[in-house]
Amino acid sequence: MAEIKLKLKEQPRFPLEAEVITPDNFATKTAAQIKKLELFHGNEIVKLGDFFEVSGKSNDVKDTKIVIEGDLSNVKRIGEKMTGGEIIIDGDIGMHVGNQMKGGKITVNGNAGDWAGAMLKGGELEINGDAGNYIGAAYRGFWIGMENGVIKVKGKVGRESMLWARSSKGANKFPLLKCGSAESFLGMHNHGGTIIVEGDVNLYTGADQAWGQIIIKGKAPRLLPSYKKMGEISEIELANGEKITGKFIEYSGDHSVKKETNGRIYIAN
Amino acid sequence: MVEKKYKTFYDVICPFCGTLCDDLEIDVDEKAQEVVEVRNGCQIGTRKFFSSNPSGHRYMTPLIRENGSYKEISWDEAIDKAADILAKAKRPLLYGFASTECEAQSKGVELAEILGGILDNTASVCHGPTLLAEQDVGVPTSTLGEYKNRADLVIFWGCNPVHAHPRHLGRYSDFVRGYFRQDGRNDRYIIVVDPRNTNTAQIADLYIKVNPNEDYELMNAIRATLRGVEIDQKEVAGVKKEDLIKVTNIMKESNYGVIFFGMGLTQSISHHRNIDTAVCLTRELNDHTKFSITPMRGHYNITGSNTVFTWNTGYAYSIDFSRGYPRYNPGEFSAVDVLLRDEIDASLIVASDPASNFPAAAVRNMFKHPIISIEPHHTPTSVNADIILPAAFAGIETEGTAYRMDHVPLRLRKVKNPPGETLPDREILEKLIEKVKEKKGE
Repeated sequence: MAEIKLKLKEQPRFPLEAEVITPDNFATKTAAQIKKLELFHGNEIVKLGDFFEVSGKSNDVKDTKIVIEGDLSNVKRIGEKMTGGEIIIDGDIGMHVGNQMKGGKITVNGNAGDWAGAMLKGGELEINGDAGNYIGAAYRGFWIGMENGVIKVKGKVGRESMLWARSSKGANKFPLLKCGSAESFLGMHNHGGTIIVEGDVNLYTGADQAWGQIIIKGKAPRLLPSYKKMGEISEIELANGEKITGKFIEYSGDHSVKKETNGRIYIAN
Repeated sequence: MVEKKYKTFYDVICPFCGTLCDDLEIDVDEKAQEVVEVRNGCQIGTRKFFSSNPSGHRYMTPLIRENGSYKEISWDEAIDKAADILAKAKRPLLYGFASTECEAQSKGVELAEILGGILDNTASVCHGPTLLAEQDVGVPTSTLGEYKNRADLVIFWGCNPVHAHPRHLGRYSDFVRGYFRQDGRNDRYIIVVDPRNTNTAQIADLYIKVNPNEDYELMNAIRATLRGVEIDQKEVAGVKKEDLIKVTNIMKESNYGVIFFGMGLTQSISHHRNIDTAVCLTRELNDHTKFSITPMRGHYNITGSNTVFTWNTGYAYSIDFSRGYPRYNPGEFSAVDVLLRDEIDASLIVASDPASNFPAAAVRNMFKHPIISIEPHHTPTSVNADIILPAAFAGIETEGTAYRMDHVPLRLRKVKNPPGETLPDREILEKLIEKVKEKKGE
């Protein structure tokens, strides 16, 4: 795999919008050509070379790996709409990393900002730290959020993660979020997304869930009153066919959306 | 015959709160150009008219701060210096616009576009969550006149109109006689949901004391009950299950219900999701009866700023023009968030006072960079500004259009001339646009 290395030279004063940093845009370009790509800094257009040292070379989209070093917490939109290849980020990353990506893989070895993996359509986003709010969520006003792909977060995800997630059995699309723990409103307006939380969640998990599965292996403070206890269960079959075993209590809901619902929350017993 | 001392203006619109009362009578001393008497107005609206009279609190000439004190300068010089700051800024913030008229607001949009800046109005710290929820789930709403004539169930949720919108109850929602509600107050059932026993709660037929920050759960439980689901809990958010069922039945059995909500919902812990579920509740109640929902907007023309920004850019608030075209994302481009992250390098504050309302950390970051304030009188923001451009009061000293909380546009009146060198917000912004264009070489 051809590797391109980017190293942040100086901290941007304003957020740096770097949606050009994707394997799709870097493919078959030399380091010199990549340096000339345009980024947005405040209301000015700057060159990628102004802020990053670039080395290495690229290949086709699938064969291109981008490694980025430095504190990128003020750099936004890396990996936006990428379709293949790989990005590895060694450090913290700002908002919108991997938003609307369709394929390939992004690994963040640090914390990620808000809207990481927003409206993901495929591929894999792995965050080996904490993540901000709206992880894998729909953007404002959209009724279809994450449609496919996997987001793995080792630490905590913020509020309203997996907002408006939408699965499709016919199209074989199963959006999946795995996280260490979660803030409130996890899986809000869920339409078939699968969420697995290794630790605890906060209030209002699964609010307005139409259908879908939320598995909590830690503790939940109190569920919404519109969730009803169904009973104990020892095996959960996920939408994509995988199975999870263990002692869980099964709740159905959100009954404020429908009287009879396929929405489920499982909490470890 | 007694000579008339003062000129009286009838049917004047009150430019204070979102109720936009349109029946004020103002006596003006024409010679001194001062308001001497206000009739029909509430306490707050009346004070606003009197505060427009020249006093030590009003700015009469443009001011610039030099070595810690303010110096009077000419309009040309002030506009030139202000335009210089804005044109050089790489990420300027234009904030406010709620307490001015629509024509000035559209000039603000034009200026933000030329500057490539961030444009926001006070909705981002007040009813912005309402707009977010409306984008997610829509809004079944109506005009205030309809409620006055038809509503027999009025719910005030997380708002206290007795203090915040004093004449709302008398004009539209409580004591007023309507076409189908001939007996006024006796023909309406009033429910107040609030953690505090407010003055509005004291005049209600039913007061529901909800635990602070748990409104979401209560509405969620009502929605489930409405669907015929029996909830597991004995008590939700401090409200007993029997009471919950009782309220649900009152809602279902009404002929026409309306929910008015305030910042008790939008600015408590669940923010826009409170409104999301309130709108869903209203929608679901329409399976049983007729129900509507309306936010109690604060500033008199905040609805107008949302409307004007929307027809100009497609978005109601939190707009970023840094790429030349409008982008929208509250949380990313909203004023408080960009200030907390210290992303801006200059700010233009129009007809609002963020220093009193924003978190201290955000205000500290705002004060680090140059501030230009278009403002009629002393505020905590303007007394820290670098350039103060004195404005005339829209709706008192200049005409314009304003939108009532139910999106009804009304024409504001001019009852007296602006004092000193003050100019209408619109004209100040026009001057700034012209100068910024010149400096940017357009």
